[in-house]
Amino acid sequence: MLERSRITKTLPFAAALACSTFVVMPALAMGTNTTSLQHTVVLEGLQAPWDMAFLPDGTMFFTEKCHGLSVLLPSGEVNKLLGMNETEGYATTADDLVCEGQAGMNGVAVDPDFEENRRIYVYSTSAMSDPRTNRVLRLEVNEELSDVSERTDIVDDIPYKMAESDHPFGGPGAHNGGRIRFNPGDGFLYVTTGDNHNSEIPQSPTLMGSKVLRIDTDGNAAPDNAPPEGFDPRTYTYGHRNVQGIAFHPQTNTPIVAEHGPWHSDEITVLVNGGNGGWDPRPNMAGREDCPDDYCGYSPNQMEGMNRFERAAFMPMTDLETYPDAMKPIWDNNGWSQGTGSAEFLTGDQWGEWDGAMVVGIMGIGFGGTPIGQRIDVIQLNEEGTEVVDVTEMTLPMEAGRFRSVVQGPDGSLYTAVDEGMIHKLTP
Amino acid sequence: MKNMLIGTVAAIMIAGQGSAFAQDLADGETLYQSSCRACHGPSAQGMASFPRLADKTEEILIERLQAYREGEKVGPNSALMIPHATKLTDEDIENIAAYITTTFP
Repeated sequence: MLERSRITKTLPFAAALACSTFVVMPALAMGTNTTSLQHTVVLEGLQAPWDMAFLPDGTMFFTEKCHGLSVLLPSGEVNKLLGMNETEGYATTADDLVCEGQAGMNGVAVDPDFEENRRIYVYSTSAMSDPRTNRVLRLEVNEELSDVSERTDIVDDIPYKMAESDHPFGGPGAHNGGRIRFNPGDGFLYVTTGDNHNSEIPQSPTLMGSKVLRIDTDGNAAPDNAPPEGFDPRTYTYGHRNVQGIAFHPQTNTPIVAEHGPWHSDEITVLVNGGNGGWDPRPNMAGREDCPDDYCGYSPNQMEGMNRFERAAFMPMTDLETYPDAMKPIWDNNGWSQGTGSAEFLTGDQWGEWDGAMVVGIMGIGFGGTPIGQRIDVIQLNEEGTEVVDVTEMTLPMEAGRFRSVVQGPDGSLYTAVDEGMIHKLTP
Repeated sequence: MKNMLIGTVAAIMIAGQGSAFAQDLADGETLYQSSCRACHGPSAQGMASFPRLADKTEEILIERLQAYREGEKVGPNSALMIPHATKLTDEDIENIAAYITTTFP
């Protein structure tokens, strides 16, 4: 792997290179031995790859945060489909799509009826309105997989952070959410959003940040959504901080999210329709006083390290005292916050004892004595998918990176995008 | 003969400086790999909301690291940068800056 890294450094960043022939073989590749993963670099030289979505034949749509949407064909050819502002070489360009900080083009999902309707969906920041918002775009892909058309913004009101504030990561675009996934159980599209460092958003009934939306492909609320009275009917759950990971239990199809914590406590939470995530960083409540720019999310002592459990007591990720009925997390990363931003379930006999386990991608944050912790964790749940029974750090056949996305492909392999500009394939 | 002697001494001095510079770069690389790479990337290209360093001058890199070492807030990632910079000596800062500008020009 060291040699592979050296090669990577010399490649031009602008050139997305399909290199499916470069396979780093483990010493032994044994069917269900999940400590001996094969590793393939699928693409490299990408600009902040953020998410992937597959067709059954292995065709892979992928987003780059500041460039746009592309597709990798089974032949290895890459077609650039939808470019953002100031990009070149894309079949179609949308000048309103912009990136800044954590925001830009984020999640991508393929319509369950793609074969009939050719539709895909992307989550992106747009400057079409002022202030900017995040949108979910519905697009149609042509037969040649070379262009998209028929753009329809099925969601156009997800809040975006416009101005810098006095917080860690306090630039514009912060806490932007951005994962979109279809639930194979109910067929609805789930959209995860963030709090923008705005303390009013998480418990707001109408601002669509800090939520998990459940909608149909026209953007309408799923009829069975059950948020509290007065809430926007698209709300499936609320009171989140910044959800960027969502996956569905392979047996029950229950949505489970992985969420970034605030200098402490990344969380995995089994969602309950209408449930409250219990995040409420407003000042002058729950024992807190004023906080920088009216947001207590990193308090106390937001610029310096301190005991993570004391932090959690002061500003809980899930405040069960204020909200006793809030959804309790089933995992809290041992109290650390290390950038837990993606989730997937491994399925298939090829994964051996990991068949049915959840994986989360952890990007790593080295703040105030927190171990950086870049890794993929394998989270084994009980049969009902309601409790964690074991956590194993995946033994990686390549260097760890900022694991932004984890997606199982139709070939049964796990694909992972890293901020370093690569998409890896891990095959058991 | 005198000219030869001067030439030899000069060559030894230059070689010595080169060796010292190489050691500085090696020290800078060690610090970069342990403290900077996870956020700024293996090629200092910048990642996520962590800025690109490969396009910065040595002077700016030194100036910023010194500011962070003094606890000054410079940009939204100061909370992450200040604790890292606090540990650095002047020599460490110069070595990191030299490594970045030499390796990722």
